[in-house]
This record gives sequence, structure tokens and C-alpha cells, in this order.
Amino acid sequence: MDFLERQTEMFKINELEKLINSTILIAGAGGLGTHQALELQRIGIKKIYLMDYDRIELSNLNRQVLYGRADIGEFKAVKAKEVLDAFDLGTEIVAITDKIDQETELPLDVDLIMDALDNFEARFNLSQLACEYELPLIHGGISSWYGQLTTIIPGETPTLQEIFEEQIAQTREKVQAFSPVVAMVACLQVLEAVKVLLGKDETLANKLLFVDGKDNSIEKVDLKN
Amino acid sequence: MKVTVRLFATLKDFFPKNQKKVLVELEAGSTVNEVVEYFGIPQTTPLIIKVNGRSGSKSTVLKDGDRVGIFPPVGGG
Repeated sequence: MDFLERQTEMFKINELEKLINSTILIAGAGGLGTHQALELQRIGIKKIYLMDYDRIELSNLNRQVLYGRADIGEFKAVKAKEVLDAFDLGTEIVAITDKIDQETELPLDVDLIMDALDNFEARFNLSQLACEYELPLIHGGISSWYGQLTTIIPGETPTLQEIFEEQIAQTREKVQAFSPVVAMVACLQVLEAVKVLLGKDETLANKLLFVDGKDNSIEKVDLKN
Repeated sequence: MKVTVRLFATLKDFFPKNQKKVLVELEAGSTVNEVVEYFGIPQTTPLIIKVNGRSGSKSTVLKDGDRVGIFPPVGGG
């Protein structure tokens, strides 16, 4: 029996084939990235590139769900691959321990990029790469009880720089990061990635979604003027 | 003139408790910056500003009946 049995009726055959033949790059193997990787693996995605140059620290363990105390000091991407591989669900996991900057070369078989970074400076580099490689980018960010999402489609939507303005790249204050909120935003990003891969209409392209875990509200703001 | 203001995410803390939107009375010719000052939002806070659903800035001049939405970009992960 196929482990995907309980989701097959949700999709058409060509959609299922699209999903199991898709390759996704997760930029960042922290809070958002570890949750996204777990979800994407369970969707049956063909291949995941997990990109992070950072090593595991104690303060990561409240939300970065693929790591434990014994892993402190290890490369996040490498450890994450080890844990994900142990589930043996068929998704190929490739760990990359490079930093994302404007010179980063992305693998050529990537279909879509997940933003799982933790600052706007790196996000703007990622958004630029997405434009260069003409790949959709699913943005997500969190702070305490709150999250925001949008989808960047090169040529069709504003870039992250245009939405959030360059000057906020300088803001690198330590934000409160709480696992249930991180998980919620990561899951919404994965849902969005599925819809973008399948060419569904109701995506977050040209829309900014605000999620408030404190008062249970979700607000969608149109970005197209 | 009166404008309707909605604040989102972390900015909700600048609102009176349990209020989702606030009607603010301003001098004619006021800008979004007067709204930011009205709620005591620090000038250093990065903000995304929408006026009647369109992109705006702190210098956008408001008119009676305008709807102002102010969002803080959240960047953690």
C-alpha cells in the first residue's frame, strides 16, 4: 500500500504526478524550514534541497523540530537530512551548507523555493535569486503570535523588496519565535506551495496574508494597485 | 475629518483593548504620519501602509472617510 493513500482522492492523477515529481528548495533549516521539510516529505515531494550554513544552538530547540540537545554544534542541514532520511518515505533530501547571498548558485532542477529564513536581508537576496532563476518563492515570516505570508511570482507580482522596502533589511532585532506559530505559518506556506505547483487560482500571489494566533484572525490584503 | 484606522499583528497593542478598528479625528490635510503619532507608534518601526487598499506612506495626505491600514513586517523564522 502506498503511504500517500489517504490523500490521493484530493487530487487529480496529473496533480499527484506533479507533486511526486516536484523539487523544492527550502532556504533555511530553522523553525520554518524544519516544519516545512516534515510536511513536504509527507506530501510525497520528489526531492528537497535544504540549505543552511548555520549550526544548531540551544536557543533553536524551542521550535526547530528536527533537532535535540545532543545535536548542538552540528550543521542544521546535515542533521535535518539525517532525521528526515530515517523516516524512509521516498523523498530525496539534499543538504547544502552554503550561505544564501546574491552570488549563490541554485540547483537547476528546483521548481519552487520556500522562504524559511529569519531576516529580511537574506530574504531580499533570496527574492533576487528567485527572480534570476524565474522560480516562485513562498514567503513566510513570524514574530511572537503573528505571521505573514505572500507568494512571489517573478514578472507577475512585486518582489519582496518592493513589498517590504529595502530599508527594513537593516532591522535584525531578535524576534520572539514560538513553535505553534512557526508551525502554523510553515504549514500555510506548504499549502501555498502545493497550490502554486498545481497552478491553482486562489494563491497568495499579489496578496499579503496576516495570521494572528492571539485573536484567531486571518487578514488578506491586496497588493495589486 | 475622520478616518478609519486598522492596525495589524504586533501593532494591535497600540489599540484600545478589544477594538479592531478606530475612527480617528484629524485636522484637514493631515498625513498618515499623524495617525502613526496618534497611536504612539515609534517612528523607527518599519511599517507597511495602505490607504483605501492602495500602497501609501507616512507622507500620504488623508481625506475624510479614508481607510488606513498599518502593518508591521514580521521577519522571524
